[in-house]
This record gives sequence, structure tokens and C-alpha cells, in this order.
Amino acid sequence: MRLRKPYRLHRQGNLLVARAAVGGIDGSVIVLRLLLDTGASYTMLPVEVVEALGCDTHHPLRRVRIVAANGIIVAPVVAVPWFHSLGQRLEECPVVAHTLPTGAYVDGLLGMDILARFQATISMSTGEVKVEQ
Amino acid sequence: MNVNKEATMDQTISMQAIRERYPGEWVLIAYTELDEEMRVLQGEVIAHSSSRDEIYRQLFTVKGRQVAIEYTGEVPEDLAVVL
Repeated sequence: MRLRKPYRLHRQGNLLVARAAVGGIDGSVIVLRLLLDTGASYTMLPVEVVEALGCDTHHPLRRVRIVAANGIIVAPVVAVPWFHSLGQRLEECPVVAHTLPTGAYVDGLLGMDILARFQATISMSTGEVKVEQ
Repeated sequence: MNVNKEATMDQTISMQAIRERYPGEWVLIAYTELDEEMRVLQGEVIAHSSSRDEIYRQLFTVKGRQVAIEYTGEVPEDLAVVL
């Protein structure tokens, strides 16, 4: 059986927030806060973050339609050089580039694409997430 | 909204000191130390603003550095998020 390591999350009301780091090929690293969102298909980072890391949002890998609270938006999917969260590092990690409204008090979303890849188990009682190592 | 670029770029201070110095603001920090959960323990404040978007724009001025985006205020208790 594989080791499942717990990571403590930050509670924001009844929401759970994880920290993540994303990096560029020039040595840039940006640490930010992501809302654990099992209702989000994709992990989402601000447009400014991915562009600062050198990703070209005008020539994305693809575009996706996102059903958001205010309607359907079309957003680019780009590969950040690396993504690190919950003790796991992913190279050339696809993320949706979209800037959330400022009132959310988080920088982006940690969506089901990465949570499923990590085989994450979320405990609301302890505010922890366990992932396969 | 204005962004305030910090003049004392070489001043490394603790996250607690940053919270006390810039309460209720968005802060861009060139961190020198993180804990195992990637929380900033200490670093240099590059810019601070009441506007998150202003801090996001500052990311283009810090290429090649290791930075963190932090909000030093409290999240409103009546805030509900539906994304």
C-alpha cells in the first residue's frame, strides 16, 4: 500500500485553502493560495501569474469553456513549467488562466484535475488532505 | 488604487512584522524563508496595496525572484463563495 501523507489546510470559513508554488524557467517562483474546489474541473491560476512565468495566454494549449457563477467564459489552458502543492511537484502542468474576482480572497482554484491525480482524500473534520506519495 | 513600492528593499522582516506594518493590505514579498506548508516566515516587502490587482501587476517587475502573494487582513465573516 502506498504511503498517504496528510497536509494541513487553512480554513477560511467553511472553505479549505492550500498553498501552492509555481515556477518559471527563469527561476521565478510565485507562492499563492488556492481554494480546494471539488466542484472545479480544472486548476485555475491568475492570468497575471502565468504570464509573469512566461506562459503565452494568447497561444494556449487549448481553450476551455467554464461554467461560472456569472455565465460561461472561455479561458486559455497553458502549461506552467512546474507546479508544487501538497508535497507534490508536477512538471509542465496544464492550468486554466483566469483571474478570480478579488473578493474571493484566494488566488485561484485547486481543481479536480490535480486532486484526482494526487488521489486526494479531504477530511473536513480535521482540515487535512491526504495524498499519495 | 495605488501600489506602494517598498523603499527598503533589502530589509528582511518577519511575516508577523509585515502583518503589523501593512494591516489589511495585499503584499508582494520576496521571501527568504518558508515553513513546510509554504507559509512565509520572513522576507522583503516589494510592494503593498489595498488592491490585489495592483499587486498582481507587480509580478512582471520581479522576474527571476522567489515571491509570495499575501493578504494581511481578515476575510469577512459574512463572505460566501460560490464559484
